[in-house]
Amino acid sequence: MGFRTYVLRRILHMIPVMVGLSILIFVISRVMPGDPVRLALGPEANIEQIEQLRRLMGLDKPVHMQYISYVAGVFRGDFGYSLLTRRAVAQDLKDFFPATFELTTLAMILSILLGVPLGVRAAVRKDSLEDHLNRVVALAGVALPRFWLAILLQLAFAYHLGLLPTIGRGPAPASQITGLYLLDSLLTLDFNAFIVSLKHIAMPAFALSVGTLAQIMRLIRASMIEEMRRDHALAARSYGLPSNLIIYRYLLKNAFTSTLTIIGLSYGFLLGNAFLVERVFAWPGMAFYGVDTLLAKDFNGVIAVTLVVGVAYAVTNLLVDILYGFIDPRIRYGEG
Amino acid sequence: MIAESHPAGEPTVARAQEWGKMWFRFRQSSLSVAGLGIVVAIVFCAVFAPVLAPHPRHAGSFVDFENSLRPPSLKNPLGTDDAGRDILSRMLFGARISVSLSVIVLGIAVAVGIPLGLIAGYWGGRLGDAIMRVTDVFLAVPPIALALAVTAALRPNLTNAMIAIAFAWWPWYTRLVYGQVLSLKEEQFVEASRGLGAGPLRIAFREILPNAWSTILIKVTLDMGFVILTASGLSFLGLGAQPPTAEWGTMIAEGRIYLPGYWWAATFPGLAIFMTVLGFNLLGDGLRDVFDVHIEQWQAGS
Amino acid sequence: MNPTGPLLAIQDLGIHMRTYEGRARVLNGVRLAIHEGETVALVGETGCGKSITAKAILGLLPPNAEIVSGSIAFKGRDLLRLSEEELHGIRGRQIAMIFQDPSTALNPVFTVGEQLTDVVLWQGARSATIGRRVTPEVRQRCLEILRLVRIPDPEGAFGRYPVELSGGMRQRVLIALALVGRPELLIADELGTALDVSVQDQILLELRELVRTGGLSVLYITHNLGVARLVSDRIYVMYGGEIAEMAPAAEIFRRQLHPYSQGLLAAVPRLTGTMGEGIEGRIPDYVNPPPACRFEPRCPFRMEVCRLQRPLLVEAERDRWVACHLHGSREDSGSGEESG
Repeated sequence: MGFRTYVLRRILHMIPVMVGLSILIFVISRVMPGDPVRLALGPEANIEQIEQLRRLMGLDKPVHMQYISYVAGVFRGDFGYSLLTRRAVAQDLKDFFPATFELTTLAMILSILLGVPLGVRAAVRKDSLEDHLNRVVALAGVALPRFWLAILLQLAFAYHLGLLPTIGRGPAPASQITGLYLLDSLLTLDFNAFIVSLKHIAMPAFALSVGTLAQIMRLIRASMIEEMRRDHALAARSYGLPSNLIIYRYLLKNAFTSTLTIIGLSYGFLLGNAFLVERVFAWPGMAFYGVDTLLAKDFNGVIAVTLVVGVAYAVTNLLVDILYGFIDPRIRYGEG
Repeated sequence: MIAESHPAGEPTVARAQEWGKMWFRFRQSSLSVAGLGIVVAIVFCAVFAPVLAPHPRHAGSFVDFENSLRPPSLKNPLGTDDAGRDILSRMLFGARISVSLSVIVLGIAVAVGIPLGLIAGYWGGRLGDAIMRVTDVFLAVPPIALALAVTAALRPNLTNAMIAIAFAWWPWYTRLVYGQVLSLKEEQFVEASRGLGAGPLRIAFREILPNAWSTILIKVTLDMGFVILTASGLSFLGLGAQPPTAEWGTMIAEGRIYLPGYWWAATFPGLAIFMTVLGFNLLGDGLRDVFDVHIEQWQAGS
Repeated sequence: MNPTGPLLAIQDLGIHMRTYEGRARVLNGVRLAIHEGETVALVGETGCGKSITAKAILGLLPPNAEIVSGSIAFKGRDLLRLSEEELHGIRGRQIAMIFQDPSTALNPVFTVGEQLTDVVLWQGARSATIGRRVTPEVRQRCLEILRLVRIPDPEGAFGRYPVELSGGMRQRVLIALALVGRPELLIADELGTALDVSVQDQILLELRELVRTGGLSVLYITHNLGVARLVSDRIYVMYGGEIAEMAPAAEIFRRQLHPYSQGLLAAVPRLTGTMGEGIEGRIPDYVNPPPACRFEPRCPFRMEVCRLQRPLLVEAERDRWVACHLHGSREDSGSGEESG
């Protein structure tokens, strides 16, 4: 099986999964107790107003018809109307998604940037005190409730030291291009805005990254140790190659390749934990919005957020697989 | 067939030796032993909370505004919350809630996930395909996001949080068992008992499942921690246990309002979650070393 | 030191390995010499200590290995006393090794060209830095060496990953990697064993050509006496971490002095051909080796003395050395130095 066929099959496999997910979430949202329309209009509303809104939202039709028109809408970029924000859900997503994307991406970058070198160091100094310390720290990192860590960080860096802002994303840069504050401020060379944004995102991104960081560290350590035992590692030494070249170029590429799929999977957990971390830092992202819609029983919002999370997760894993094939020729040539 | 190769009585001795060896290997790592110690301590707290707690009545809707938000002292070692309740007592009762919730959730996940995985892996065919497709759908979103979506459809309380998490958790076991079955199916001893005329049900439950149990046990141990983590997260968001329940996540959410001045109300319950999850992780890691099984810890890293 | 002495002289090399079972005495007083321009084969069954000897020369022993005695003199310098940094300067440029298995000894995620140019660029460097570029000269050198090892399409192979090459081609790339630093001594570990017999023969013959024209000295490590005879001038037979016998290649085939060599040769004509099958018993336990002669338990000619006294490697006949109580030292053996 060629690599292209493989990627194509991966994409084709995504379709039924996403359809299934949309049905699952749609069904869940339709069995919600209580009447969200009544909830949204408040106690003052009369029956006619309620009926009118129901008809407007298509809630008077049978469930499968509702589903079909919902899916048709999604393809037009229409996710329905949010009872919470009283505007199109698509508009909400457009406003809130970049914040979550920026946060989770930065957390991922942080995890890799810190986790990989720490893992390599632990592997090189296997069984040293540093290595044992790393193991404890890594296990602790996985076990830390992210929302609690977030609170501790707030206590330390915002309340006591006053170094970082407690909550929020800070003011938006003057011109918005991507909706990612860090990127936008860099693109417009507005360094003050960049620093401000960085200060705001530092704690949430770190709190979010801890678990992933710890796991990447452990994985890199394990696969580096495995790589060091391989024949080609010994061969590279016998050619008289410098050890930094062997470790950071030859072995790390192999080790990183074998951890890539796992790194892809962990993006999903970053997204999941974003629901908690965004809450603590009042980070105006999609997860924050998602919890609000949940509490308000705003089903259009709930469905949309869950779908976006599912799609983001699936796309990340697909990209990782493609990257994997790109780095490791054995995948491209259908071996291993 | 296998039993025939042993003279009568020998298997029990061999098994005892096997256990002895495993225990020896487990003890080699002080971290594993520490994990076991923490887990035993947490379970002990959960079981004997009413006896251990200095103020057992404070676990519920007890109110004593005179002693509201007192800092840690001899009378209240970890301070009091906004309603004047002893935080230590509430944390001990919280262990009860968290441990039993986790046991129930994993009980459901195991009871649903394992048979489905066995069916999908062993019988395969259309039914097997269908099961794995449905599993894929459930695995398409991180467990906490799916659990959140489910809580939206239900009234927020502890029982419903439990249902929501179990709803998101079973597919991991289906996939785990499915993979195990596929790899064990072609093993010789399974072939042999098939040759002897054992039915599929017998093979699935008597031959394959016992050989997968160490993997499942390790996953359950690790998941004990991760379920507690997820449940406390839901409660923290207000979608799980509701006040005045002494659930750790709920306690953090309540205490957070009084930051930074009354720091103890939000920080100590978090420590309890952290230690519990760490304990189960260390124990699971230790078991993994003992059984020498490699499974991804990734599946449930919520 | 002695300018006319051997290029490489291993004296009394003893290596222990820490294992779960205890201390394994894997090498016990190994003695071996390679003269300039000479090809020497080290023959023995799997697990006899051949590969450990090779790795000891390059200072690439696993971390659980411990050198307990002896010296490895290369051009008069004792390699065992060199620092890691000094050894680093020798690896690849003075002593190079061709690894055994072409499917595992190449890094799977780098192209042949990348691996080769890295060796050309960084061999012997203390640490790699950013900025050294692949110049046309470097590329030229790589293509030249690929041509030298008879890779049909060097330009094409340059950009390929190991997975895209056949086993024989990969083996040639490994040879190229070892030769590119123009070493004086080449160690070939079970060269071609992982390949088809026909490809193996071809590669062995090609390498013999290369060695002759290049004036290299070679240490062949093999379990196959037939291969040893094909390529080498002198053969050392190793058993249980000790040298059992040493003789010129042609002569050992005519007559073997050590009972183990006799058993080995008896095993050669067999089609299944694995070493040692002609001899009863198994290779010795290195943790609790036989007290005196390590071959004694398997030896058809064992005597009382074999359990009491370790036989020393002595020159029993002219140019023929053996460690066996069946053979005494040659009366007129003047010096203890072996000669080619």
